[in-house]
This record gives sequence, structure tokens and C-alpha cells, in this order.
Amino acid sequence: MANRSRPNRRAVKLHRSYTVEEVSRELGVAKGTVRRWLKGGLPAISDRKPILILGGDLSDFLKARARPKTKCGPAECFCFKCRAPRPPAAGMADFIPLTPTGGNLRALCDTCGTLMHRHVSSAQLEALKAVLDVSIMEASADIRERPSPRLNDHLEKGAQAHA
Amino acid sequence: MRKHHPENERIKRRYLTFLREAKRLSVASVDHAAAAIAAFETANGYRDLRKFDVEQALKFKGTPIPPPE
Repeated sequence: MANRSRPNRRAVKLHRSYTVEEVSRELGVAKGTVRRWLKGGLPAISDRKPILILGGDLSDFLKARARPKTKCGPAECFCFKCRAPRPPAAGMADFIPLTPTGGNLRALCDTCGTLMHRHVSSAQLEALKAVLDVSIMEASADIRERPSPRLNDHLEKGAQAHA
Repeated sequence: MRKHHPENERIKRRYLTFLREAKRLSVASVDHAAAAIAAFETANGYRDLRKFDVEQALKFKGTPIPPPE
């Protein structure tokens, strides 16, 4: 089961019913978590055991708990520490070109000072320049011209024959 | 809570397990069977499946019910 920070409600089938254990297996959460949901208002058929949870009810319950998506404004980056869109500190950002048509915008969070990144196209960059103080960085050198050698030499070791 | 009949949920559960384990139907086929039963239940007003009779099925299909002989 994939390790997700939030259960995948799309894994729940609307026309099936689930026991606590089945929900736990399907969503990759602990059985105790499902029982906590039941206490917290998840409806279930509890006239006799095993308690059955309707797939539709479970889907609705998880949908109601889901945090709404937050979209960044035109001159904002998503800060992973604040978990919210934040404007760059002092209106300053670096642009690192990655492809001929776009690259990454790198800035510090206005609130906590964490490094934030955002992909922007060259067209968007022109509009951003009007709002932000964007300094254009040099593109990184080709991978073959890297000054520091690779540290993992597993392939070399694998080639040695065992006596 | 969504509309349902508690007893029907237990019956459906057993039947879907039967389809999967005894009839060896694929998960997708069992899902389709579950969706079809749900459609029937909705049309039927969530009546007890143990009181199922042919006329309910004919009504669901839209077939005119023949007069009693």
C-alpha cells in the first residue's frame, strides 16, 4: 500500500460496503483511525457485527474532510513550510532557465524565509518582471562537464568476479 | 447517511463475495453487479430483497406486467 499522507478516497467503491478492517486495508490507514472516524461522525450500519460502512458514505465523509486546493496567485510561490501560497520576500526572485521555453523561479518566503520554487514559462516571466524584481541566473552546465566526479561506483564493484 | 436497507447490505455483501470467490468473477465484473443491484434497489425503493418477486423485476425492466391468469 502506497504511503500517502492522506487516504485516497477514490479507492473507495460507491456500491460496496466495508468492514472496519476492509477500510483499513483499502485505504492503508490503521483500524484505530477508522474507528476514530466512526466516533467522529462516519455513518455505519451497526445493528449487528461486523459493523458495515457504505462505500458512498465513506467517500462523502472523506470528501468533506479534504482540504480545498489552494492556487498560487500570479506573483506567489507555494511555501512547503507554511503550506500556503506566499509572496517572495522583498519582491525579489531568481529565474533559473531549464529549457528553451521555461525555468524555475526561486524565491524566499515572505513569512518564514524558506526557499520556494515555481516553474514559469518565458511568457509568464515577462509579466512577472513587472511585479517582481527578477534576476536571471545562468543555466546549469551540461551534465558531462560536471567538475565533481560521481561518488557512487557500484557498477565498477559489481564487475569484480567472486573467487 | 445514504438511503439503504441494513439487511439488504448484508445480503448483497454475501452475494458479491459469492460472485468473486465461487464464480471467480473479476473485481470489475463484481463492481458492475454491485452497481446493477444498487440501481434495482433505488428503483424498488429499498425494499427488502428477501421479499423479491418477479413483478418487481418486470417493473424495473419496464416490461408491461401480464394480467393474472
